[in-house]
Amino acid sequence: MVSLRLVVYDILNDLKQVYDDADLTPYKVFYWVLVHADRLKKQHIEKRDSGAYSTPFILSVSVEPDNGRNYFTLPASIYDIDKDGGIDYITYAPSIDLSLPTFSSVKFTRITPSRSRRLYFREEETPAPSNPYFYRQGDRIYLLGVEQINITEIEVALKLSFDPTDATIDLDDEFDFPSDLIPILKRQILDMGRFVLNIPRDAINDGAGFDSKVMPTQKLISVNSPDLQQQQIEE
Amino acid sequence: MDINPANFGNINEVLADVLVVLNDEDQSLLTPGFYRAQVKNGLDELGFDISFLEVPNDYELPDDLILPMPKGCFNLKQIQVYTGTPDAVEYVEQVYWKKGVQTRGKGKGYTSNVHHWNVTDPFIQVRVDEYSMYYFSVQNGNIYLSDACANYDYVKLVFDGIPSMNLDEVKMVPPEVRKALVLWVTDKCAGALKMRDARYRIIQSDAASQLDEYGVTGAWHEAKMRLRKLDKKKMKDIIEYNSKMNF
Repeated sequence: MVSLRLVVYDILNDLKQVYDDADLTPYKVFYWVLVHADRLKKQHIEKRDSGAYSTPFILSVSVEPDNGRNYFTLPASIYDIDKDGGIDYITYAPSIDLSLPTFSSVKFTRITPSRSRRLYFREEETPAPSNPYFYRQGDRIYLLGVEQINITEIEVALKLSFDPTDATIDLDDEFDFPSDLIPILKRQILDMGRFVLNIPRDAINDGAGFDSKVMPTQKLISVNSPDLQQQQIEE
Repeated sequence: MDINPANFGNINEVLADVLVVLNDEDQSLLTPGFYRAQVKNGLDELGFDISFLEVPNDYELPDDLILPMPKGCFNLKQIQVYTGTPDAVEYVEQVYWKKGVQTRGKGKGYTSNVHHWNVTDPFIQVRVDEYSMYYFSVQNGNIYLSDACANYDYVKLVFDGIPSMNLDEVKMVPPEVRKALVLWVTDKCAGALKMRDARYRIIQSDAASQLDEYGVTGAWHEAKMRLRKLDKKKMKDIIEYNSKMNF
């Protein structure tokens, strides 16, 4: 498995081959890598039914003092996949002694606040500890149906995204990215890097952007001008 | 056929098939409760179509002779009043339904088209000892017993039960009807999903044709016939009784 450092410096070296005097820092390439890797990894996760990028957590549950709603805060950024697909599953903590794994026994079902009203229309769907639901609001996940029990911990599996602003990312950590997509990632970053590095040269207002030989020296006249056509006929 | 509750399965055994057919094994398209409700609905529908869940219950005779219709009852089959206790039944009297009775309860009299005091009606005249009239009427979901029943201790009701209200989810599905229920639930759930994905229309159509709920060539009719069929022992005994003509 490759490290992030390997990918960053590989791309940095490739760009330096052509733009050796460019002001390119490893951090800039690191940022580019994570931005592009995020997009590619999200597409990969959406496309494949795989648990390769599902990360389990045991999180503590809090209660909003104003309204008694149970919630936990996402421990890291996750992909915003359709229907909250960035959350693989939510279940009770494994410390609850069940014959089955908790995720095979009770799974929190995804719902939205506006759709939750219908759940209370009949007994079978009414949120309850045996039939709990969750909904997402920002970086908080609210739990529905567990208001009457004292739930302190929860198990959740998340599909984590890269967070380029995360200062704790270690370049030497394992790069949690599908290795078969690294060539595509590299190509995209090189393309973008070349594009970005080309912009300043064209935008400099030093008068050297145009060759003086091709500068027009007389008034431009349309070849379709009626005067010109008349002139040609006379000749 | 007498069904054996020990053989009953649970709701999840039906859903284990349905969820695979609908490609919703993680129950993300519809809620788990929605699926469970469909199994119960299907079982109830079957219960309304054919009597397969007979529920007998004993109730202490209320002082006002007004017995609320039990929850989960949809078809009264027998009413008897008796003295003693459910574990030591003594004298038993059959209670009949009297047509058109309206009463406000014990000792408050009643009205009906045919009243036992009516000796002047030019068409129907009845003279019966009111103390031996054991009858009931049903008003507003309550069983009103006649005053004569007050001399007894208990009333026994036998009725067809609505399955979802009388059975526990752990033991709810007779194996004889499992196939029909799988198709019934598939039909309803695919119907609920077809607005989201038109492919479910095909699944619904397939399930509905195999089920044939209103016809006689599908699993629904097959399930009813299985439940309706007389046990072999009973059938042989009835033939024997009929042949001897001395039952």
